[in-house]
Amino acid sequence: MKETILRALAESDVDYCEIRLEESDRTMISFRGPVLESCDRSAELGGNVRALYKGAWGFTSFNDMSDLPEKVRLACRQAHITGTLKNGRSQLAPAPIVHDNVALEVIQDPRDVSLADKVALLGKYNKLMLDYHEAIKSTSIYYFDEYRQITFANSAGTYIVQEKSDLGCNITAIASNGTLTTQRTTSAGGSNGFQVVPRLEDAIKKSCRIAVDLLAAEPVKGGQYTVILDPDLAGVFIHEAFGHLSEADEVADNENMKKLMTLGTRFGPEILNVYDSGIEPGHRGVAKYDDEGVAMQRTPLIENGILVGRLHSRESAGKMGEKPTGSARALNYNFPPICRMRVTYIEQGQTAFEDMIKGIPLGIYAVGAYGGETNGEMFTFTAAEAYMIRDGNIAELVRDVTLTGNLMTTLKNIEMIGNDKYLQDSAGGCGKGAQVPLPTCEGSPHIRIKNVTIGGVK
Amino acid sequence: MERLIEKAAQRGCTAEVFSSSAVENTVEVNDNQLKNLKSTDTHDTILRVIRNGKIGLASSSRPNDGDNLLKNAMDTSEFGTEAAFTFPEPAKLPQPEIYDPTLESLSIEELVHIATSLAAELQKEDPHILAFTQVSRVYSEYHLANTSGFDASFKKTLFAVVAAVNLTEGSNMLSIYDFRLGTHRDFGLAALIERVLTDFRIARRNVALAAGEYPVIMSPEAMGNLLRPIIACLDGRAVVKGISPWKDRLGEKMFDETFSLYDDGTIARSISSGYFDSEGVPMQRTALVENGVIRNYLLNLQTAAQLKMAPTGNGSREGGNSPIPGTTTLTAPAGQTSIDDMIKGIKQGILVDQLMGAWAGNPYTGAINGNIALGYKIENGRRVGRVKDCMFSINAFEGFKSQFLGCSKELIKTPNAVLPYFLFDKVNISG
Repeated sequence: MKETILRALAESDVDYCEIRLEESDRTMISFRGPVLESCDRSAELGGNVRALYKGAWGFTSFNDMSDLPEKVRLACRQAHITGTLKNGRSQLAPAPIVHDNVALEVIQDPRDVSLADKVALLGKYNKLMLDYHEAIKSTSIYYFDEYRQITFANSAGTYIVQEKSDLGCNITAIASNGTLTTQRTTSAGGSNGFQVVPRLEDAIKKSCRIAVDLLAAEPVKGGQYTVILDPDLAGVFIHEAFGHLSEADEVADNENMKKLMTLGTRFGPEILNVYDSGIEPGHRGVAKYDDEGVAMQRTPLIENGILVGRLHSRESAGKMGEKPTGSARALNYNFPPICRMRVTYIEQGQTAFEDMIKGIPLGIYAVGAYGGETNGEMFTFTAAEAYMIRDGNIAELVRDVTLTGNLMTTLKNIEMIGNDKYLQDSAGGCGKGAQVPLPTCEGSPHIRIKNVTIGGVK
Repeated sequence: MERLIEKAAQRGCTAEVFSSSAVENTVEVNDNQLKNLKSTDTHDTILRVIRNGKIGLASSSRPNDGDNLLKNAMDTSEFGTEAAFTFPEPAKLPQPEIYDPTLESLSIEELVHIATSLAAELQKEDPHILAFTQVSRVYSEYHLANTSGFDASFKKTLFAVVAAVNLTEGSNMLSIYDFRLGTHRDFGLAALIERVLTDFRIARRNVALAAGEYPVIMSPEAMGNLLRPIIACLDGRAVVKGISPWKDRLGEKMFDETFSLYDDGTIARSISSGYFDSEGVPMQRTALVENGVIRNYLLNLQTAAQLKMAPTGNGSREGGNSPIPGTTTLTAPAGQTSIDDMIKGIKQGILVDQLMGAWAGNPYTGAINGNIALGYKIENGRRVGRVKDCMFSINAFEGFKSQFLGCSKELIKTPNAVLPYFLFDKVNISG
């Protein structure tokens, strides 16, 4: 195969060309209510060629691997059409030429666990939920594991074969009293094996209790509150509210965005430190190399409240005169790599939870994430579970808590950062354009933010 | 495909093979620059078997991977769900017009020209804006065969044009986009440019809005968010499991009698139309809500059999390989008033064009909370500027009961719907 790939690349007549081939095997299991809803296996074999000529790209993806030189010619032909029209300059930041073979590093390879054992464990969790309380009317479990082997080669001479493992599991208890239905999810996931799936019983029971308790909770009253976010939700917050803005492909050709995102600009209080890392062992989104063959790293984004870095592909780094960060990632062979997050987190702070909640006369303690979204300027996300804070104490459970805000002001409104950082993996993923769900992970300590808008019907 | 079906039958299974292939060409202009020309040529085969009453399923994009597919499908059938259904027999299929042969003659160079000239038109508006355009052409083909004798295929085309302008001024970011799409290239682009630039001119000005209750016009695209809880409750799976509040409520009036909603997989030139769904059930028009009364659920083969009802042609593999109930094209009847007159009739209100994050949250409560990513303040019958940093909250179930005031006479095509603008009264806006 290597010979074929190198020979095909040798025929390219552009400024830069790369081939990425992927072979993957995926197992998916889902439960809904008492029954196993689906149990599938899928196999993928596919590849792509990406060619850069005079600053514009041609890209082609395919399942039929039989004529790789023809695919290279096609991608190059497309790059010539766009590049000739654009007549710009190809600006790829330099990257080391790498020859590597990255074998899978897993604790318990999901492929070594039989389908029967996976089904049995998930079935046990499912029964645990259904038996927990009469109000638990249904359940939903989604589990997948995936093995992937990616071969990457470029016209500069890099040749990497990389094996990856990915796994995610969302286990949801659904309670209903006939008119209202509520739910709470327990999540697990990782890039180094199946061992994160067993022993979730305590977490699942807790989710069941919350789902049942939410039936009696009132919807929150909309308005502005001081809010404490738990590590899970604070992770989603930093991912949505800031992480996407640090993806440099949205900045590199936008002069006004460049001004806004000038390194050295204050984005938050002195206590705020934010990183995006591809080297947190075992978490989703981590790998040795990104999809351009650049080694992943831990990239500081905000230090002491000041913008210090961003997430680069070779092209965005080349255009901005900065260094690639190993952040060029593609959902699969059907897509070109773009600037993406890996493991995004707020670094641990100093404040104990008790000191954080003390002194809040009326506020909200929001726990767990139910999804979020950003448009660069504003963000919104929904809490899975939330409590009123009254006179410095956690008070009643409330439901339908959605937080929103302008990201620049909200980051500056962070008042306290906890001493209890935690990274949360799940079966979900990050979306950007059509490339969703890309494995990512996020986390944080507890954080306290003032003046957060909470939606809600009066 | 026939051989795979035969082999499965020899192993004592009933079986179904669903294969799809797509060839796509896409041109992207991003930040005023021609950036990317993409082509994809993909295919996928899914084998579903029923063995000893249980479902097994496997998919592969590897060419000639039949033996592996059969092995994986047999393996998973050990643990599979009990099949409540049998594979459908051949039936008379609708044949909506969904293939535009003229798209074949459109060269790559012409696609590039459309994208670049559209971007150039948008850029004329203001030297500071960044234009984004995307032009896509897709041919796809679907083939389904099963051991009950069903064997049919259909071809479909898609042509889509997206136009957007982005402007960042200080920390103020404005993004206006619109699109035209369908199975046919039957639309001009002048109206698209006009619409984007008109909206841009109005939205460039930010206006303050006090929190409170306002009449709100929802764009067809934003309506997707409001219909989500309704779709979730009509999903056959939620009904079977008893988590839908509308279990056993067919025929009951739940909403204002002016509200009707249909799922229609047979609309000509709609990209979600087809001859049959991903299980071989003929596509059809299904009344979901008619004059405020709940008429039907969205059913695939499995949920239809479990509820002892007829499948509605909504077996969808959008979310994975196993068919689940999913919508085709959602549509609602047009009203009497034009969108312009609807705006003219509002003294103080909002037009919501895009909501953000409103998809999150528990759908079964009906609660919708979304940030107004793009919304316009209406004052004395005209749009005066953009409202920002505020949250839109409504309960969809209550909304269609007591706040719904009517629809526009214009019907707009979105990727999975053909809908009018909707007007609601007394919507809560916080911020």
